[in-house]
Amino acid sequence: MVNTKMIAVVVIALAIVGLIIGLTYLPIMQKTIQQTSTPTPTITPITTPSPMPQPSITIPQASKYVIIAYRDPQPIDRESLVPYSNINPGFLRDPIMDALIKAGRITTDASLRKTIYNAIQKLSNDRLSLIWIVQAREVRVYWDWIKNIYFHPTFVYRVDDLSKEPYAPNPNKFVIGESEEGHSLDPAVTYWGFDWFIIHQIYERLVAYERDNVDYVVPSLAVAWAHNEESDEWYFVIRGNVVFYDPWENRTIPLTPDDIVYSFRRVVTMHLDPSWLIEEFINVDETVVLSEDEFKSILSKGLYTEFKGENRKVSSLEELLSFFGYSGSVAGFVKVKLNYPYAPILSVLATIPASIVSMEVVEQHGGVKPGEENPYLYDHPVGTGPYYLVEWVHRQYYRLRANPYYWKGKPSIEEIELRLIPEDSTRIMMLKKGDLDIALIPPSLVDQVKDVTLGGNKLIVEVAPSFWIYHVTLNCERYPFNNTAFRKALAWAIPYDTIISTAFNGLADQAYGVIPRGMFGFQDDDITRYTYNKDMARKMLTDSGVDPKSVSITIIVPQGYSELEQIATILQSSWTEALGIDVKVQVLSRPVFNEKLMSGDFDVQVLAWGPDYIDPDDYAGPLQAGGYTFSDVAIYTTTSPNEISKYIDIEDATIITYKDVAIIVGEAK
Amino acid sequence: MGDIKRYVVRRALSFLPTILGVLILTFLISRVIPADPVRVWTGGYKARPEIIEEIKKRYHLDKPLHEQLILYLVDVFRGNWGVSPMSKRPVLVDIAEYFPATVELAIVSSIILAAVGIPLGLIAALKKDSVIDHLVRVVALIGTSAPAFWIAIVLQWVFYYYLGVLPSTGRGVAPPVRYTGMYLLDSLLGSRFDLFLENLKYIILPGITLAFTGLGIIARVVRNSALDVLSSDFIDFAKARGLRGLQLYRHILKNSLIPIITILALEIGYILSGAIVIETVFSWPGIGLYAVNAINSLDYPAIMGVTLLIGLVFIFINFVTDIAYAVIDPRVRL
Repeated sequence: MVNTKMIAVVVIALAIVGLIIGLTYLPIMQKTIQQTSTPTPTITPITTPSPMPQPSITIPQASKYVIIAYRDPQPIDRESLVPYSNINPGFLRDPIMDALIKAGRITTDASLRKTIYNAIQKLSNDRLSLIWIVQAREVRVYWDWIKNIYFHPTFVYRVDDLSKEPYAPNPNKFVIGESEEGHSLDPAVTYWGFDWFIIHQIYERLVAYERDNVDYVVPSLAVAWAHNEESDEWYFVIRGNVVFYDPWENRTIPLTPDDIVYSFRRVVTMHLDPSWLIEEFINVDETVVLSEDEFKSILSKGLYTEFKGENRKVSSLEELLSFFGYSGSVAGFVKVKLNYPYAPILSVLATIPASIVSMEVVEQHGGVKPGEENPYLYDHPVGTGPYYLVEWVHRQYYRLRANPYYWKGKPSIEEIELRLIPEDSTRIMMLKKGDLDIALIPPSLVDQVKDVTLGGNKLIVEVAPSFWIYHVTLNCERYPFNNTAFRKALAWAIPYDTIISTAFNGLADQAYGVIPRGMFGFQDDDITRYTYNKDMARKMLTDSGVDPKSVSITIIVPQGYSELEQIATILQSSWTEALGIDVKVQVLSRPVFNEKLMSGDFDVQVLAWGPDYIDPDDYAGPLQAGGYTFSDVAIYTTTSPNEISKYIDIEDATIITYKDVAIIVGEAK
Repeated sequence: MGDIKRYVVRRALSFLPTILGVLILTFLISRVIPADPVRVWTGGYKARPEIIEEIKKRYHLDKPLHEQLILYLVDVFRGNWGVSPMSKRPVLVDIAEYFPATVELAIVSSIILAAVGIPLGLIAALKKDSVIDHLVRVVALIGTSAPAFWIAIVLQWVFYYYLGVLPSTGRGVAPPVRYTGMYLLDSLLGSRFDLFLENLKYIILPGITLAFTGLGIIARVVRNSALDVLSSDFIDFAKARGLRGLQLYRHILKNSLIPIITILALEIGYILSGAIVIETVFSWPGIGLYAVNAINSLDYPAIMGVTLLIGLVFIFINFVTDIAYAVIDPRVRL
């Protein structure tokens, strides 16, 4: 008794002492933490990045000249810089790259866009604020009784596109083995890939990708679309006879054009993580429902439309619908107003945050509050898609069932079960036993599932390209990473092949620039192919004038990603060996890592980037933005070199050549 | 029995300052994590400054520390343990969902632990230095030294993959009506014996794995404590009086109970605070993994909620243990 009393007294005493210490010192500690985490602005003078091709007065011979003229370049304040938004995570200030990114956004001419992204690719390969390491491949492991499986880089697959052989165990049920559960099933809230997969089965959007095709979108809730000549007003014809199925109140609600406008406005009002995908491009206040007469009168003046690579100018509803080959009923018309002409807007409208929710359901359950999540929509999805949620038992499983009211007809696989199995070896055991149809298998464990059979069936291990780019980010605000030659020295001292064979079990390809292989604008024929080359690395180091003995680098990686840790360890040994610099590796918990990442408090970090939607702007923007604003960016094309000086001052311009085209970026006259 | 009541009240009151201490420590520990939690909650990469400011306000992170502490204490006593930014739900709702799974597993594994560990220890003591004693020691050693992860995988491989008699992961089927959140108990309360048997299959493997890790300690403590008792005068006297078998065991067990209860209580406390490895391998949605996820994502309200809960669990177990001592040994009540 005395003992416990004494323990209680000691605990209280400790608590009080702790409290006093805490109250006195903690505010100071917090302050010092804050001070150290914001990078001191001028440790070393920051040299302006030398543009790749030295500004040259001689204009190269080219069959075509693309002139990008920007006006009033203003560097954004340091405090307002947000990595992955208005500055690349390496904090390299670069107005040239910014002008190119802006030009890529505003141009609607596909071939011109391609040229711009080819140039961005070349510049990203040369400036090296980020060193491109590999583009990972995706591993899919599933039983051969699953048919027609495919993988889309952003949405993976939709279960109603698949079928299951009748002899399979549980022929009407599709069982997926996953590791961790998602965050929310509200499309306006979540930014998590696994949530996106589930939402993709339940909700639909105006347009969709057909299976794994990434070249163009096809009609979904919209049956046809067209835009004005400037491409900043888009018109959508909404499919008729579509209903939301509400399993929670067992009712159906017809889809109306109001639901579409409501859904976009909701994302913007809630203003949560994925909202930038709508906010950045769509002016929701001017996005409205049109009556048939209003739409017909706009159409009569002529609109432009593209579908499956063909384009057409249309001036009547019949003409528009027949171009899309649609003859069914129509629920109404919606005008989507863009902030600026944005060519990939249809890919954006195919992403999960652009999902269409039912206005009636949301308004009956809490409505929309600025900056806040709707707790009902968190786990009560009501969509028009092929499946509906039956049950979400936290950290155990999700169960979805085929929607009997689905406008394409009820899907053949009756039920989807997503089992959450955090332990890899348990998941592999369950897959091998046939209790799972498909499962998440980390690349390093692929050998354990090779050549597995079960009563005449075979486990299929398929490897496919993905759009995930692993990169090493160098903090260009710090010495010596502010030195381009030093960054190149680092790039020439990386054993890319060793990284691919060790960290990725061979399931990756070397990456050379910001745009992934397979995406619009990718090129690898006019870039530097970095390899592990000691001589080249040493030469660059000498050129940089940096004394290797004075350099001490810390590489940070987030905890829990073995491939990132392995990359960091390989960098450590190869940089030390090839360049004679001192390198440390620090594995940080994800929150601490993110904090350093966002504030720019690091030397080098290793991370990967995947697609939000299928467009190079989703890579160039977040990973290469240069921290500048312009009052205007204009694009001109010409075949005559003499005309260039009409638009820009050629003396200070940057010229990037790709094949027989010269891209000239400079300040407008 | 009057003095037992007084004793209980006295013990209960003496725990109040401890609870306050736990609260204050919980609060302080959560404030010294070296990262900005707000950025983490808002999704890091693409967070906007307005949202960050808003969250700081909502969680009082813009106020001085002592004000935060007072607001926190008031909230805790009002039953407002905050909303977890990760699960987007009130922490108490999360705890109410995950803690019963842990309690259920703790009960089952404690039953296995007591039912196997105590007899093993007693047999070892009575047959000291015999083959049985050595065998018990080996089993105890394996239980203590083999990693729980390995035992779990082996059991899973044998009973799920090879024999196919038990399920691999999960908790089974949720009973239609929720009374306590414990599947087994709720199945019984709802008179669904079919579900009880079904769900029993799911809890066996994690229950055995968890019990196995504590088995060694229990068996050893029971053995040593029984040996102490065995060598005492009153046992000699009992033997001389001709007591044999069960009658003798009863005397031995009762007098060696205090250390056994102490160690059993500690084991239960440990199990209740979550067995992360076992929860992972068996996808058992208990409080341990919830706590780990909360720590990894700097989810302040959840970290504080779980810490407080575990603190309270230990205080409660100590309380029950103290009372158990008093019931067993009247001298404690003095």
